[in-house]
Amino acid sequence: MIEFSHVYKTYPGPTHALRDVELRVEKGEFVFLTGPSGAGKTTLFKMLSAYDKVTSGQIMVAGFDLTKIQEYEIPIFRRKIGVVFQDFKLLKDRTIAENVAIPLMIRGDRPQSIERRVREVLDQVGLRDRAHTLPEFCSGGEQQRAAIARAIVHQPGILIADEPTGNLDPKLAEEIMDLLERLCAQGTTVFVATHDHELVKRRKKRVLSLFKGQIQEGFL
Amino acid sequence: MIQKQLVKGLSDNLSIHVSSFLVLSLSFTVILGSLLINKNLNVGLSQWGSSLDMSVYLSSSVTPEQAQEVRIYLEGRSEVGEVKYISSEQAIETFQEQMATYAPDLFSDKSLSEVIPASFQMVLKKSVSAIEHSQVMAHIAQSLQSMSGVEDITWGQDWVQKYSMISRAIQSFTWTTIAILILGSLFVSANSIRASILRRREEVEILELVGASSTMIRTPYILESMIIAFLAFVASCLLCSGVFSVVQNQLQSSEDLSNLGRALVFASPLDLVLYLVITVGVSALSAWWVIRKINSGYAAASKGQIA
Ligand SMILES: Nc1ncnc2c1ncn2[C@@H]1O[C@H](COP(=O)(O)OP(=O)(O)O)[C@@H](O)[C@H]1O
Ligand SMILES: [Mg+2]
Repeated sequence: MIEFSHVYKTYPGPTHALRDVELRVEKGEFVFLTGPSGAGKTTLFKMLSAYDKVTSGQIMVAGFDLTKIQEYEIPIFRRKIGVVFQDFKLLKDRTIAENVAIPLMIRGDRPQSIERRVREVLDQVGLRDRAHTLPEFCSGGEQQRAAIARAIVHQPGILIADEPTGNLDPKLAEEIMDLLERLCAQGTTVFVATHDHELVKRRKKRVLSLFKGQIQEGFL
Repeated sequence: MIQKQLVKGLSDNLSIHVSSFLVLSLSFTVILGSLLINKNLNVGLSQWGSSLDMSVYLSSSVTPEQAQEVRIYLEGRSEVGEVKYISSEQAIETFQEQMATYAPDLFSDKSLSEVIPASFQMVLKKSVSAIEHSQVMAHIAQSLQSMSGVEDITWGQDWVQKYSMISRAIQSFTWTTIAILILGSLFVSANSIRASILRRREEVEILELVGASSTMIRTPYILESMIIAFLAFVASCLLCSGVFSVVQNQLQSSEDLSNLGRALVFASPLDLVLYLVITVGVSALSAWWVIRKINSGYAAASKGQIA
């Protein structure tokens, strides 16, 4: 469950990136977050993943109050969610498989089970033959899928994806969206930011729109 | 996880680590060398053993009570080791034994007892350092001077005083050097870890964002600097023991100084353990200081926070 109440985020400048954001996403829901570039989608996701602090307001995610969260609780919280970053955030000096394995290594899984699970996830996102390649030798689309694989490898209860299809051709984008829907069907809460209206329209899911930092609800 | 990060960190920044290892080795060597010099300052003093005792000559009219008072005073001082009373008769006997071969009937007992008075012979405990030695002796001598029944006091004032002075100078010089070098080592350790982190800042941020705890992120860096310090410690021990045995051999093979050569002491195992704890501990501490802010959960969001 995700709940924002009266959330404001102001960057130095000042830029009012989020203004009085109210939203509620139930467990197991699939929700799109749309809005033009600069609307505040990434900022909203940063708040949601305890990447940065809100200026004011309250955020509850999976039972954690992110405005009151203690330093030592942050890693615990982050292991419960999966985040696909808009800029992927892959480690440059590790292969795709090593990158995908990180959440499992952090959790302290055993090497054999890590290997098995990583192979499974790479198959799911169609990256099997790129497993031992460094990110810089992969295309944007491949890196994006690696980022998705890393976000879901530890089977988080909540998956947050910031423009996960931004670098994919339409066919691959549809495949990835299918994958996300499958995960949702298995019980994961999925929250996807995108500015691709066509894609949103086809999927017929709940849509939250951001515009200049303010939220409007509606089904497209 | 932590091992993998550690191996990566050590190999990624090999040139930084090698140069910090070299600087630390050198500075640890000078530190250990200085400690050895300080430790051996006392050895030089104890080589002139006979000059180290104090003779307290009592006047010929001394009463047993007065003599007892002198003994009580000497034995009451914590720095004083052995106190021996030599009566006039014993002194004469010794003297005659020594002179017997040269001049059998040189003095009659009567006239000798006028010349050779009873005395206390006293040495300080071994725990009194070369530097304190002359101060303690001078203080005791001063106190004794005012006691009745005491005629004269002799001890190796002159050269012990000089030796103490030189020792003190050497000691303050070495301690200053050590202090400067420890600060320098702290700085070198801290900087090599800082460089290591700066090169891998992005990695730290990413690990943090996928849920690595502070311990997981920090431990490899602290271990990294401890390993380098440990290697430098080993190198400095090897270098110092090498130089030490060369010096010792040279002293022993020279005629005048062979005693001194034999008496020189290297650091004891306990000294070395302490030294190890200090050098590695100081490095760990400085690494910890540099990275204490590296991961606060939000560090990734507020770049530029790394000290
Ligand atoms: N770290 C930052 N510092 C200052 N301004 C920022 C920062 N991040 C985003 N912004 C500003 O906040 C607004 C929202 O940005 P963002 O959340 O990235 O939008 P979106 O992801 O919808 O394109 C923009 O005006 C952007 O310039
Ligand atoms: Mg964005």
